[in-house]
Amino acid sequence: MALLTLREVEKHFFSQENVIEAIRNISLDIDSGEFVSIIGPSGCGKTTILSMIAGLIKHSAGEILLQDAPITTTSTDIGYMLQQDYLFPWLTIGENIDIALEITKTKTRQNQAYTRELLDQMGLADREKDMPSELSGGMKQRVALVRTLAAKPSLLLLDEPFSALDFQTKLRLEDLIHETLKEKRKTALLVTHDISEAIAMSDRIVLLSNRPAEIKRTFIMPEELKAKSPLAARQQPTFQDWFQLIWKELENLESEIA
Amino acid sequence: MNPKLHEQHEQFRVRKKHEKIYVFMTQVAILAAFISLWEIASRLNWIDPLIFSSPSSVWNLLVSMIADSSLYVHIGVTLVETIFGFLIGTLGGIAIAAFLWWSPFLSRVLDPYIVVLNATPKVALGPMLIVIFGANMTSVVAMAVLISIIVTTLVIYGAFRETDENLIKVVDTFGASKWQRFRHVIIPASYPAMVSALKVNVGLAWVGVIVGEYLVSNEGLGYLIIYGFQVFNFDMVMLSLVLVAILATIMYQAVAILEKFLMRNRH
Ligand SMILES: Nc1ncnc2c1ncn2[C@@H]1O[C@H](COP(=O)(O)OP(=O)(O)OP(=O)(O)O)[C@@H](O)[C@H]1O
Ligand SMILES: [Mg+2]
Repeated sequence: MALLTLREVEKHFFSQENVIEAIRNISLDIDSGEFVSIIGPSGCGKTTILSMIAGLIKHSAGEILLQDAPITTTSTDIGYMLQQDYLFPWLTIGENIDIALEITKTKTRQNQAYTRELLDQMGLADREKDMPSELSGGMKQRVALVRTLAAKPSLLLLDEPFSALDFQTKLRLEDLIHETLKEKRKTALLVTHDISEAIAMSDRIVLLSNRPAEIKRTFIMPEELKAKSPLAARQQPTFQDWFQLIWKELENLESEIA
Repeated sequence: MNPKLHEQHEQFRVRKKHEKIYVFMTQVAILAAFISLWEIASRLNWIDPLIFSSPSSVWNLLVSMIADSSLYVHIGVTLVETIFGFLIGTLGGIAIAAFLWWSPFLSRVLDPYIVVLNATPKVALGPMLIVIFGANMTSVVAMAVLISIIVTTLVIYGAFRETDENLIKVVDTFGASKWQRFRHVIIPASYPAMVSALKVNVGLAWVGVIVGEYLVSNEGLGYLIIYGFQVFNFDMVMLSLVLVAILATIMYQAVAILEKFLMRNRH
């Protein structure tokens, strides 16, 4: 069963002088437990799609359904992780996580214990009392993941969560996030610029056209890549072939602009 | 640590300590020189002792006013007015800023009025205050409030609006209400601006109170300055000036310490 359904979704932005067509026509089904990546040229509308799914902005036409119910506003069923960690610099790590529980009014002893367990899984159990400024970029991004998971969303939206990190940290974090999400049976939609990352992490990759965004192609990843952790998938001989294939498509798109 | 380094470190610390002592001693010397020079100049009639008074006559007046306890009333009145003006101006400014943030429509409607109010020299409204509140302490406090509240509103509202949108987005994704957004993001993000407004407002409150007392009061240090001027008692003017300077400094330092305390968890 599809957890998330986009049906002929369109989005226009209005300004004083003109109307910007950001999303032309997107139809997409994401099944429960699936990991889907969206890649596409810069400024094609990837963040816009996530914002609409998160209920932060309204779509202009079409339908967005979560478990067959239209999304009208933000909901705790959907977690959204931004490009940077955006931890509150004035709160400790523990308080930063608790804020998710506080706002969703679910701050119970149980839920708090659950988040501390997550923090432990992220290898940060001893940093609970630290301030964000005392943590490295990768650590902060892990805390942000815990905060996002604290509200127990069934669908996770990830907007280039690794782009601000160095390569090594990024590889390690890819593995950690992949493992955590699979273990918790979360469904995830990842936006990225990085083709390798998309191949390594996803079950399916959706390639968008230039703005106004439409789905240009969908790549279904083969079992041998899907089954492996991102790091292991990168070692597979077929990895390069997929990379070449998607690279070509993306390059074609980018040359369209130039 | 290796002994040589240790020794150098010791020398470094001693040097720093000596520097500190020299600075302090020079400061004291300047003050002493100023007071002595003032006294001598006055005694030798280099300056007119009737107009510029002298440290000894200021001191004598201080002693006699303490003895007949007339000074306490004036100090008390001015302090109370300043503290009230300071608190109402600061808290009121923050409250108005919150209100403007709450209603973007109203904030756009009120924008030109606030700009005009801010540009207007508030002191010019003094006579209006006397008409509205009467010639009493309320008018003086109102003057102090008026001087600080508009600029506080502008600064705090500016800080509210400059809050990182992504931080707001974080709580929005959890479905935060407007109040939660305000309480969990806007307020803590603007906290440093509010704390620094405290320091600015102490100074402004003093300006407002002294001007207010010039205009209406028959008590307070500002009143003493004007009164002393009118009856040609410049000992009184000087004494009041010195007291204002000392009290304002103490209050400013107190707020500076408060600021440090309030900011202890931020860097
Ligand atoms: N609030 C808005 N008002 C007007 N135009 C907007 C708004 N938000 C986005 N756009 C426009 O819509 C288009 C898509 O923006 P979006 O941020 O979704 O792109 P993106 O694919 O996430 O880009 P990037 O790869 O740089 O992150 C862009 O051309 C952008 O200028
Ligand atoms: Mg984007």
